[in-house]
Amino acid sequence: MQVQLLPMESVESRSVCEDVVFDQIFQEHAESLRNFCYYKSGSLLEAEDLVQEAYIRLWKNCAKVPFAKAKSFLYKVAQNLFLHKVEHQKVVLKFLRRQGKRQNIESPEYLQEEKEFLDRLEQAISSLSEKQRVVFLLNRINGKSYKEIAEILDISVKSVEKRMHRALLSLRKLSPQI
Amino acid sequence: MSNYPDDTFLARWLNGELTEEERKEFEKSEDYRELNRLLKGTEMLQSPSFEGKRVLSKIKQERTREIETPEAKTRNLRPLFYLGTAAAVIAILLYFFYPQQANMVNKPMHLATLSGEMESKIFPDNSWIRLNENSEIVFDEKSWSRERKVGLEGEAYFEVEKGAEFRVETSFGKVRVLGTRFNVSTRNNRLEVVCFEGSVEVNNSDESQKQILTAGESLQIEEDGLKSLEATYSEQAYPAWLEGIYSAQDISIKEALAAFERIYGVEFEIENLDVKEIVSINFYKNDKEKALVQLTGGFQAKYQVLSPKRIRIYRE
Repeated sequence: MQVQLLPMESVESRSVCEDVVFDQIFQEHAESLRNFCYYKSGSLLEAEDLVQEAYIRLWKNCAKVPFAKAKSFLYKVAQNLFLHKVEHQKVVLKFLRRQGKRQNIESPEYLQEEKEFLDRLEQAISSLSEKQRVVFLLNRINGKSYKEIAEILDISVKSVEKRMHRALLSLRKLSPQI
Repeated sequence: MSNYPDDTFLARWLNGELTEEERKEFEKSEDYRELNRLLKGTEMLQSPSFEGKRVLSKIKQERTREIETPEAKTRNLRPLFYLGTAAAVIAILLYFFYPQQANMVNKPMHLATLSGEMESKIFPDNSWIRLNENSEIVFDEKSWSRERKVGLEGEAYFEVEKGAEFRVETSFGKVRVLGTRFNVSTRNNRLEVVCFEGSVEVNNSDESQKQILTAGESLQIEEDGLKSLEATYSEQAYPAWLEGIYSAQDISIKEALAAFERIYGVEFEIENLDVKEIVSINFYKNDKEKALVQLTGGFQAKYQVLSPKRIRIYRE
């Protein structure tokens, strides 16, 4: 994405209806929003649809939504749309794997073992309840702070911490099989 | 170390917020070693790649399309794609044919669900309703900009955008709000309102009494008027039924069984059980076997499936 970011103060006073401003909001939040929807739904296609729909609604309401509120508007719309879908399939999340620095000096057996470990870990994470999973992944994979997650989900930081605590307890329970 | 002093301990550990002492103690535990192993693994994972350019261009295409064909707006049913049932088909037909008739009569629209179905409705101002099973709403979209009013029988969850007064009318009373999230149910011959955000005003049917609820509070109206104001759902952000679980606090066994019968279309034969006993129950709405275990476990009863539609429920 080659979008020149505008300085904050110049954007804040401008309308979301302007193409440059809209593009910037896309640039800043679309990927995070997609990840969030992916962790919730377990489907990349569905996540992308939700992102699209959220941005289209932002566009339709661009005159009413001030720049500062755009992020929470997007997350709120995506969560509402997600709730509308009754049938949630079993979640199977797939992640990209980081290349270990020492990868090329490790034995093939070790690499195979590591791959299987990560497969089992992915499965275990997928099996967490939606609430636990979303908090765990936003924090661990995307480095979002508890406060930031609380804002996205519109709940208290304390509730985020409870969900994280429970997520770790659940993983700990599963750990003999991982 | 499986007993933690509180229910945020591990979250605080992860964030480096434990005291030196707590941390040292925890690091001796098996839980610490295991969690560390899993968290190290998690560090190897990255979210899937995101093709922002492609997605943005799709959004822009869609935008242009909507500007060129404004009527496409009303056809944007994708969020509701599970409208697959007879009731829903009727609702869609009404939805599409309504505008042509609207010039003559201002007919209200109905949206109804059968057992095991749920429906959603998004109004022109982006307020939306999630309709639980066996429920019905009546509304008039044409006059929505002047008057936001919905008639309800059954149970529904509401998220109301800020604006003029939004009214929910039931045979037991009225609920009035400005912009908030709340749940209204007229099950079991009473009105129950739970407020999740903001505040709502509840009136009994002749409007002789009213009560204001704020977030976390719920209220029940029996036929004889306003009854109790109590705080439930305090930690919950949404009613449990939205997530496929039937949940009710402090209801009689009779009401609990009636809810189960309604959801699964079965009939109970009751034996040696005081149905007036007050219980709290939770059960899945999509797994009859598990739900039966959860239901009967809620009040230490046993059950025997006599036929697909009949279940004997008893205490020894």
